[in-house]
Amino acid sequence: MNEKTLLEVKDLSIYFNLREGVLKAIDGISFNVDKNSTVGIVGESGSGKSVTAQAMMRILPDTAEIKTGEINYYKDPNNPIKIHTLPDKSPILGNMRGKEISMIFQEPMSAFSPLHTIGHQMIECLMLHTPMTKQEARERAIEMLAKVGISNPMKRVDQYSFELSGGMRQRAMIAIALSTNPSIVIADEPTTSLDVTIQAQILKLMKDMQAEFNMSIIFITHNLGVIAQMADMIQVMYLGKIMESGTAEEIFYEPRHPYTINLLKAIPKIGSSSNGKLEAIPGQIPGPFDIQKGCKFCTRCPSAIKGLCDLRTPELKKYSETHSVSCWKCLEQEK
Amino acid sequence: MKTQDENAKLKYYTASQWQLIWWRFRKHRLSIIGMTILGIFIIFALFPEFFAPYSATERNGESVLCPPSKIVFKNSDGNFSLAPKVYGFKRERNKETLKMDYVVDETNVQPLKFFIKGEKYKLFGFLPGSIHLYGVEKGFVHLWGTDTMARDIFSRTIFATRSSLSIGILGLAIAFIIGLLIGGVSGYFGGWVDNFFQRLTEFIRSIPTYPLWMGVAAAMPREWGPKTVYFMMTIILGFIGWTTLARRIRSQIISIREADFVIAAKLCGASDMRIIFKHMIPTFISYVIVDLTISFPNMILSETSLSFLGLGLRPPVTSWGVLLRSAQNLNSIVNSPWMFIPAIFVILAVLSFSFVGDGLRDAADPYSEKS
Amino acid sequence: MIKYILTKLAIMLVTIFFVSIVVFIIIELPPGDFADNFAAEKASAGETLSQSDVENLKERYGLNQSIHERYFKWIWGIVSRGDFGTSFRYNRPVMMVIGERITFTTCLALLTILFTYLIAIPIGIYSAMRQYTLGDYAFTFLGYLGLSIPSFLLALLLLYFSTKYTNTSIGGLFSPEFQNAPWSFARFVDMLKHIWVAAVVLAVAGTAKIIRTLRATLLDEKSKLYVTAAKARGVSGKKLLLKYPVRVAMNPIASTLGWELSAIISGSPIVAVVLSIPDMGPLYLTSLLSQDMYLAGTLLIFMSLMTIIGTFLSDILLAIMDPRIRLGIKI
Repeated sequence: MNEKTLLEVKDLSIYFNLREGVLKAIDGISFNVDKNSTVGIVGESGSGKSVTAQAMMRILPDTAEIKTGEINYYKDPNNPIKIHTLPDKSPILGNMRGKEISMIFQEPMSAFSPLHTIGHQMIECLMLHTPMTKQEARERAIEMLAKVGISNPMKRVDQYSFELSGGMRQRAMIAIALSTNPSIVIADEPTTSLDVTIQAQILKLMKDMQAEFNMSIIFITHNLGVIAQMADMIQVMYLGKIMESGTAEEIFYEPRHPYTINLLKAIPKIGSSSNGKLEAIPGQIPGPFDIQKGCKFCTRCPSAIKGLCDLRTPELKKYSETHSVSCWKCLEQEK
Repeated sequence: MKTQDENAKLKYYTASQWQLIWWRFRKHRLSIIGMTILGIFIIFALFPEFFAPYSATERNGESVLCPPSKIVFKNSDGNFSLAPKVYGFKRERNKETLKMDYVVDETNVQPLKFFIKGEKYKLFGFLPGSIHLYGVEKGFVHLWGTDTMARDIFSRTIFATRSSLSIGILGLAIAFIIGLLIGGVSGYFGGWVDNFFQRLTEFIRSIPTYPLWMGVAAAMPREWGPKTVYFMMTIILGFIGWTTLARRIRSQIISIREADFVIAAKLCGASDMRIIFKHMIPTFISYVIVDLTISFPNMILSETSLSFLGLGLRPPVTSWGVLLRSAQNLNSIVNSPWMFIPAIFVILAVLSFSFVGDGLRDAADPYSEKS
Repeated sequence: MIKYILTKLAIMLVTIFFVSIVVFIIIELPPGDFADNFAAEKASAGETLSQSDVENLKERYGLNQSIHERYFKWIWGIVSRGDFGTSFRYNRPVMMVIGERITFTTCLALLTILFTYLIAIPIGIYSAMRQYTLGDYAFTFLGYLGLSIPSFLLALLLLYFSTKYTNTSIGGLFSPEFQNAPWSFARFVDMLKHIWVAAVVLAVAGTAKIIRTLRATLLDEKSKLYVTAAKARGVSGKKLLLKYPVRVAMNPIASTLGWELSAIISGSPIVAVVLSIPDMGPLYLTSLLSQDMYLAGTLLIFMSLMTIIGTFLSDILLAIMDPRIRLGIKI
C-alpha cells in the first residue's frame, strides 16, 4: 500500500452458497492496483479470476458471499471507499459502477442487450453518470465510437449488436467502458473470443486508450502471451488462490512457483523440435467441491513435499518488493 | 475393491437412458403424486365393475336427485365404532316449498360392507364376478347421491373413467400418428414439402379449434349408434390434435438432423440404420413422449367440453362430459351440488397429467436446471 | 418492414380464401340437408310434409345444386353484395340474424385479452423475481389449477354459486332496460358490467399459461450476461429489471398473442352458452344443430376471420418489438 495505490484487495474470500454445497471460489487473495498501471490476473478455468473481477464491482450473483477480506478503493488517498462493506443496493456502488470502475466482458455478443441499439446503451450509461443531455451524450457516443476505430460511427450508433462483427462489438464495448473516463477498467478475457489479428488490434487499442485516459487496467486472461504484452504486474491464480505475483519481468524471466514454471514450459515455442512432446501439467483440475487441505496445487505439483504441502497452506515468501510466492518448496529452498 | 461411492458412480455412468430419466423423475414429488392418481384412475378404468357398487345404468326406483348417503361411525348405542353404517332417506314434503325433500331416516340403517357380493358382472366382458368394493345388503348406498334419472353418481363416474381416459388415449394415438407422418416427412425432407405442410398446418390453425370440432361433431347424424359415435370422436380429436404434435416433431427432427452428434456418428463410420435407431430415435422419443403427455389434458378437456354441449359422446356411453351435461340445466340442480362431483375427476386427471408431463420434461432434458 | 406487412397481408387473404372452402365443406358434412331436417322436425311434431313440399323447399333454397355451384354462388354473393346467404330457420338474411352479436363477441375477446395480460404479466414478473417464495408457490399452484379447470365448468360453478347465494344470476349480457335499447354509453357500461364474468372465466386458462411462460423465460434471461453488463454500467433496481430481462422476455409473450386470441375465440362459444350471453357462440351451436348451414358457415368464417386478423396484428406487433425480425435476421 503506497500513495500510488488505487485499489487494494486484502485477504479476500468469496464463497458461493449453492444447493450442492459451499463453493470456495476465492480463498484469501491479496493484491494491489496502482494508478496508471495494468495488473494481469492469469489462471486456468476455475481459478477464480472472473469471480475476482466481478467482486471488485460487486456484481456477483446473489448466491455469492464475501466471507472475509477487504476491497478498498482509494479515490481519495486518505479515505478509501470500503467496497466490501457496502450493501447491495447502495447508491455509492451504483455511482461507482460504470463511472469509476468499468468492465469489458468476454462475450461482446451476449453482453449487449439484443433489443437496444449500442448507442442507446452507451447514452444510457453517460446520462446516468454525467450531467449530459441526450443530445450531448449522443455526440459523445459517436465520438467514442470513432476513437475506438469503428468506421462510420454515425450509422453504427443506431445499430444493434447483431449487426456488428465480433471485433467491432468488442470495440464498441470498450467505447462504452471508457466513455465516462473511469479510473479502473476491468477487462475480463476481452480478446478470448476474437481471432488473432483482431486480438492484436484490440490490445493495441487498449494500450493507446490507457495512455490517453490515464487509467488502470485489471486484465484477466488465461493466455500468457497476451498478458506478457499488457501487464505491468501479474498475479498467477490457481483454484482461488494466488500462487505467485510479481512484475512481468519477474514472472516471465524468474518464475519461482512450480505452477508458474510449468505453465511457461507448457507454451509451445516456435523452433522447438517437431518431435518433442508438448509439456502438459499432469493431472486434472480437481472438482470445485473437493476440498483440499494444504496447497491447492499439490495434487499436480511435481515438487510436492509429502507431509507438508498436503497439510498446511504455504506461507508467503518474498523475493523482492514486488515478487512473492506461496510455496513450501520455495521456502525450503532458501534454507 | 471399489468403495461404495465408486460403485454408486459406476451405476450412474452405466445406467440406460430410461433409468436416468426415471431416477430424475422420481425426485419430483408432484410428478409422483400425479402418477399415482393416474394409476388409480387407470385401475378404475380397468375394473369399474368391482369398484362401483352399481352398474352405470341401474336406477334406484324413484330416488331422483337423492343427496349423498349419510354414513356414520356409531353403533346402536350411539358410541363410536369402526363399522360404518348407512342411513337411508325418506321423502317428506317441505312445508315451505311444497316440494318433496329428502330427509335422513335414522330408522333405516344398513351396515356398510366391504367386498360384498352384489350384482353380477363380467370383467372385460367375459370374466364373471360379483364382488364389489363396498355396498349394502338391502337398499342402496349413494356415496355421491343420484342424478336426474335416479342413477348412482359414484358408479357412473367410475364407469365414465373408462370412456374418458380411453378416448383421450385413442385420440392422442391418432393425433400422434398423423403428426408423426406429417411432421416427420416435413422435417426430414425439407424444401417444398416442408413449406407445403407448414402452410397447411397454419391454415388449419386459423380456424378456431372448438368451433371447428363443434362443426365436425355436429355432422354426426343422430341415427348413429353410441359406439360409432365413440369411434368417430376419437378420429375427430385425433384429426384436430395433430397440428401441435406435427409442429413439435418437425422441429425435433430438424434439430437432430443437423446435430453434431449425428455427424460425429457418421464420421465414426456408423451405418445409417444404426444412426437412426441408436442415436436419433432415442433422442427424439423422450421429447415426443413428453409432448404426448402434455397434450393429453387437452384431449380430456376437449372431449368433456364437446360432450357437455351434446355434440360428443351420447348415452348410454358415459364419460365425465356426459355426466356433466346433466348439470347444465341449472334450475334442476341448484339444490343438488353433488352433480358437480364428476368435475373433480376431470380436474384431477388434467392436473395429474400436467404434473407428470412437467416432471417428465424436466427429467428427460439433461440440460434443465433441476438435476 | 413494409415488405413484411405486405407479405403477411397476402398470406392473410389466401388463408381466408382457404378457410372459406374448409368451412363450406364442414357445414356440408352432415348427411341430409335443411329441408330434410325441417321435414323430420315437423314429422315428430305431428305434421307431415309431402314429398313435393320437401322438393319445393329444396328448390327454393337451392339445395339441389351441386356442392361447387352452391359454394361459388355463396362466395360470389359475399364478395359482390356482402350477402352471406339466408338463414333457413329464421327466414332472414344471415347478416340480419347475426346482427349485434359480432360486436359482443369482439368486445368479449378484447376484454378477455386485456384481463389476461394485465393480470398475467405482473404476476409472472413477481413469480420469477421471488422464486421459491410462498407467493411463487401459491401462484404456481393457482396456475396449474387454472389450466386444469375447463372453462365451461368454471362458468357453471360461478353461475351456481351466484344463483344459490346471491339470488341474482350473473348470466346474460344486459339488464332488462338496456336489452333492446339503441347503443349509448350507458348501454356500453351495462354490457361491461355483465360481460366481465365471461371475460374472467375465459382469461383464466390464458393467464395461467402466460404466467408460466413468462416466469420461465424471465428466470432464463435474468442470469444472462447483458443484465450483468448493464448492472456493471450502473443501471440498478427496477430499471435494471424492467428495461432488460423483462423487455426481452416480452417478445415470446408477444409472439403468442395471436394464439391466445385464437384460444379465447375458440373457448367463447361454450362459455357464452353457459352464461347465456347472446353473442355468436350460442347462435353457432343452435345453427349447427338445425343444419342452418349458411348461418353456421358464416359464423365460423367470422370467428376464423377474428383469429386470422388477430394473428396478423400479433405478427406486426412482434416485428415492432423485435428488431431481429424487422431486419429479417434469423435468430
